[in-house]
Amino acid sequence: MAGRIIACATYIPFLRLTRAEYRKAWGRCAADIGEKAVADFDEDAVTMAVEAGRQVLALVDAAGVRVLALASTTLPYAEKMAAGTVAAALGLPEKVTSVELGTSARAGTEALLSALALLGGEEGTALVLAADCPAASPGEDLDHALGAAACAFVLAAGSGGVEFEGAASRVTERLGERFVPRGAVRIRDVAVRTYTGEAYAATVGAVVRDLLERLGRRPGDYRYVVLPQFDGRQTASLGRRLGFTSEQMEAGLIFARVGDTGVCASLLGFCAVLEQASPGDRILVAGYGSGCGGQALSFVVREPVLRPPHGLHYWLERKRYIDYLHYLKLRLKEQLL
Amino acid sequence: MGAHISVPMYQRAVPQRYRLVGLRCRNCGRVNFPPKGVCRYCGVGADFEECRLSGRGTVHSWTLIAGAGAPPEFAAEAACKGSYPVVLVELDEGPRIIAQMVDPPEEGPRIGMRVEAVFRRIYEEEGVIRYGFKFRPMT
Amino acid sequence: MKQVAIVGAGQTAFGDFPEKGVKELFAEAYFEMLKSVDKGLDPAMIEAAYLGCLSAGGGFQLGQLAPLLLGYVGLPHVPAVRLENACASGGFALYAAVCAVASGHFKVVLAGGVEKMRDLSGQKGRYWLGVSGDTEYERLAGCTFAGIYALMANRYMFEYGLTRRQLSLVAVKNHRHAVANPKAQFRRAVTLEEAMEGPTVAHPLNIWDCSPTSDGAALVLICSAELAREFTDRPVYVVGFGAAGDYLALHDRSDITKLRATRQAARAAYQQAGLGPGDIDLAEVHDCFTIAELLAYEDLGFCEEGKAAWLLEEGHTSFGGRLPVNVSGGLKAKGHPLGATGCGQACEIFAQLRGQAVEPSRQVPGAEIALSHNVGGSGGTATVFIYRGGS
Repeated sequence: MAGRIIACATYIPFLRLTRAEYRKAWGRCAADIGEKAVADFDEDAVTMAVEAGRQVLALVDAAGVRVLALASTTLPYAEKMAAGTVAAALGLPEKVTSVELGTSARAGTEALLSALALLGGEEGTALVLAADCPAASPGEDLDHALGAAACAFVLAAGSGGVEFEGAASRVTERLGERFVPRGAVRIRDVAVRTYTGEAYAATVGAVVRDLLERLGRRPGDYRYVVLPQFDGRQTASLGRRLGFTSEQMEAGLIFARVGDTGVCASLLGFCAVLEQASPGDRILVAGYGSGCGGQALSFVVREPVLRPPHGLHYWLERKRYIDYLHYLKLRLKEQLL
Repeated sequence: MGAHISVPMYQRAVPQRYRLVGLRCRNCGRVNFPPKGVCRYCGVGADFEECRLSGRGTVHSWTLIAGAGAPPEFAAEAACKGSYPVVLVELDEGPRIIAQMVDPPEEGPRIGMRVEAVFRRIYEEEGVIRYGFKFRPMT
Repeated sequence: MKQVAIVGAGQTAFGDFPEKGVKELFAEAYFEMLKSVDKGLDPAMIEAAYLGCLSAGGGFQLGQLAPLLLGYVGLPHVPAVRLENACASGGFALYAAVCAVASGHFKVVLAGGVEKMRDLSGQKGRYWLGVSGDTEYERLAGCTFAGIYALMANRYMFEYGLTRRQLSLVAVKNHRHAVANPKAQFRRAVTLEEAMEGPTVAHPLNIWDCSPTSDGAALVLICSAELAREFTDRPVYVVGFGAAGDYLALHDRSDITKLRATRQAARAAYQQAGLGPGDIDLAEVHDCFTIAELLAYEDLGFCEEGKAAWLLEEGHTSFGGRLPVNVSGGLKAKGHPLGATGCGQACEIFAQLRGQAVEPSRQVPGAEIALSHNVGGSGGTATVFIYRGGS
């Protein structure tokens, strides 16, 4: 399965909540964030996906898009194609082949792989949109990390650009790690930190080792490594255990500034890396979903991606801080409606 | 209780609300948005071709809708935001259009400010989310 | 075209009347109108009725309101129609009635309006208030009527340097006028400080810049001028009348600091009357928001563009000035029961031009020519009438 990334873009909502606000409201912050991005009242995964999508479609022709892969765990309808809304907003051809993925945060890397597969080495481009604004009950520690963001990638068949080199994937059974029961909108878990940490390290670790083995690579072969970020310490610690240095990890670590962005938990960092990578650099990016599955993808940069005028740095700096009460009203939006 | 714009009525305006599709008059060449049956500029043209507007424009006037004064379908949004700005924007292609402003600067909107259209949720009725455009300050 | 006269007028007080419904309000205005006809009216002479009402159709599910009201006052067989043109419903009822008599088709007709707004919950009230604008775009921008006028105000302020204080002076004047009007909803003066510091509704407009929601009814008896003396020796003649429209949505209008509908309606009325703005002794204008009164000064030709604040500040439009505007208190302080507003203005002028202002202290001395101006929504429609006293 050959293919390449030719463009990418990110979107981060305007609103931010700081660690200090959690401390003021609850006495502590359960997540090691400095601040996190918060979707506004009128934003959701679809609007954020469109934000990111519009930026890349200013770089490549929308008429050439043949595949649309949309990843999100927070699509606004439980049943109804969000891809149609996004396609209509972006002015994509109706003949686009669309897929929607989103039963876990791994859907981000699943979308990249699906898009590559659906392109099948043929003409045209694939648009991959990942957008998420996960929410938990404000009373639970789980909520403290949850942020919001979106990314967009344009993929094409053939070589050049940021070439796809290969992937590893695993799936297994793990109970109670991160789930939303049918009919509910809020994430739950069993709230056992060691269980969560173990599940993450075991699943992501295994799939990264699989990839290295398959491609005959050593950790040092990668200029950049982006592991999924649901917690800052956990990601850094796993990186060290896998033999990656902080220099390899640093550029893709953005958890502390946006929080846990669900399907963007590694793709946002991937975009950060793509924005600064040089020809010859190798990039490893991993995805993770609910303790049940991981994916690791390897890329090599042949030529830099096309980038919109506003890179990730712009979106990280464009912000307004809100207080916890404002945040709480946003989290309780359904009760206000 | 919201504005009873029926779903089919909203559906018909999806090209306008989602991606600002206007009508260019084949008689005078000017762009009508929202669409008209007869050109708003030359007053005679009734034959149009579709064109997509850039979404970029300039604030012609603005207001801030205070929480208590919002229409019922925007009451929750107003309660959440405290107040929200509404702007009358002169689009670069000529027509003016009204919409909310998102991510306003601390000092509020001002006349002459450059803005760009963004895609947002407008409101929800009958369980159906109505998406459409709003404007955001351009940087 | 026949000359048209007003020979009777009646209105309820405007305000908050939980004990009265649309029928009771209408009947109250009707009986006052009957009493006002100096030589008496045989109700059997009434050939038709044109009634303005906005909220009846959806707000109260009373689509065929007109026969309901006529039946309530014993006139079930009079052809009656409810007209709806937002806040200009009453003005257009009057316009339809005047046209019907001027055409010669009818000789004696009723024009009026009624509105029952205070029954509606705040939410439902705001809901119904919103339906007269451009629902598809303005309403879905989360914009209220106050918001639309706020957009006009901000632009006007930008172009002409109008100040917050000057907006408030309109409220101060109209509240001062309303104190002496027993029909007014707010018979209390407001200080400039109070008026400037009310809670914001839609920036720059605060609560004191906005007309209230009101209950009320108003009716006038219209007849052809040749019949007028059968009813009274002091008829008020409708010497000019104009109506006009504009793009409903503000965004479709090229200049939002003017109401083109008002300008066009005024031009027609002045032309028909053979009079100009300088001939007007008093005017009731559509001040649904303070900015609207200032725009009206310019649109009606009372002053040049950009000079409205000057006209106001110089006191020319206050009671005692050379062209008192809204001596009733206007929509701002007399009240604004949408469908009744337009005919309520005619009631005020009927009294003023006959020297019969209820409280002598508010009688404009020597008034002979008057004008009334009613606007639908943000200017999608407007009517202008010019009246001449018959004495």
